[in-house]
Amino acid sequence: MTNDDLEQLLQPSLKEGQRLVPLYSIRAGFFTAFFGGVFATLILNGLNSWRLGRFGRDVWFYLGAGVLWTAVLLWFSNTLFQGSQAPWIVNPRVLRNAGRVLALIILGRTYLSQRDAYKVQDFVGDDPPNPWPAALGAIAISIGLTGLIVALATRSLG
Amino acid sequence: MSTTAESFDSVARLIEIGRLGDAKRLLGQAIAHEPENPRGELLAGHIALLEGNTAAAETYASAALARDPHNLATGELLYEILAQQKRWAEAERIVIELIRAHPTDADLFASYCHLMLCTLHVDKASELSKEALRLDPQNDRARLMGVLVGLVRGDASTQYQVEKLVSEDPESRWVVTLLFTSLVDQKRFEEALRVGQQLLRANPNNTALTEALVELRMQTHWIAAPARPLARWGWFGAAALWVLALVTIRLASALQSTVALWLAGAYLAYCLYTWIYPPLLRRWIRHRGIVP
Repeated sequence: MTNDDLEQLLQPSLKEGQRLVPLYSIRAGFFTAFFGGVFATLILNGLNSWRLGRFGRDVWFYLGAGVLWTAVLLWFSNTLFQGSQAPWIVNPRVLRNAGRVLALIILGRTYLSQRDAYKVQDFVGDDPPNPWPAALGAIAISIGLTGLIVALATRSLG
Repeated sequence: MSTTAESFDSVARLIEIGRLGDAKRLLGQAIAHEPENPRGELLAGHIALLEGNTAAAETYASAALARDPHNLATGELLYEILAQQKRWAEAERIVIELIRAHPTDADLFASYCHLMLCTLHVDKASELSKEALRLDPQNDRARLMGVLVGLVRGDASTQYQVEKLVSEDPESRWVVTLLFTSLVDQKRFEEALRVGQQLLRANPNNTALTEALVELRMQTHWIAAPARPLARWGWFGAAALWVLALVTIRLASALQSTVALWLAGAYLAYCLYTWIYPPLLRRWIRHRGIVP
């Protein structure tokens, strides 16, 4: 190791007063994905990225997934309320399950990119924080946002 | 009549074997003889830390450091106190100062590596463990950190390193602890349980280990056998099972609704079982005891 490398290694990585907060567990992520769908998962995973200090790196993925799901919701609402010839796939139950599957895929992708941090948390024995306020908040926002998008889409039709 | 230096040595030995009451008594006499000696404050700090009084330990360590700012043992004690309280930024400042004063000390690099692991800076922890091992390839803490970083990153060579450590020093407590962690990580629950039971016999008051063993025993109990795929694949397993159930039930309902109903019932029963058995089994295992 050269002196420069060593000097770089000896630069502080932590800031005074900065609190290190553990990540929300995968269990919390799973239930949020299941009951809250895509938007709730994006919010909870976004909070985890923020806690890890890598929000800037992950934000484009979250935005992309959010835009994709918004497009699906708009297309779905348009097709469902437009006429009687909607195909079988345009069914609220199918949409709900598709949202869950996409949310679980997003959760899987963020877990894989943050796997090291979860493993450290396991080894060091840090308990994850209480997930209820964040998860319930994320689910509420997700339901509100979904309702808003559907309402806007149907209003533009009529 | 022994000298004060000899008294301090005796105190250090008493602390090492856990006789804190005797250590405190002897230390009081030694400090009365030589109140200006920073070694007295250092030892008092060690005792306070072992007794869980971190505030007093910090006062002693700071006072000792003020008298002798370049003392390695005092710096290490202060680092330990700050790390235990999770005051990570202050601990980092201390360990960096120590490394600058003692740049060839592998233990210090290993300590910094541990700090970086605890604060989720895995890449930096990896660099620090490499540097610690370069400085002293045989250093226990450096090797421990090397293996821990390997486990976190899922490096294939880590298992070989653990086996090598075990074959070199099978009696060492930290090596056995590492083996335990490594086996749990690989989900080899039966073997981990056996190693963990050995560890618990040597250290019966370790509550964290007891809890870990209860969880392991739950994984290996026959009642948990149907839930083994979920233990192996975790939440990904649960997600895959849900998708599989969804698709199968949907297909079955298109063909014959009775079959779909049975399938849905079986899936629901399985979900209920995975919810109900863990708390009951946990209670039963705690009641029975974990070491045979």
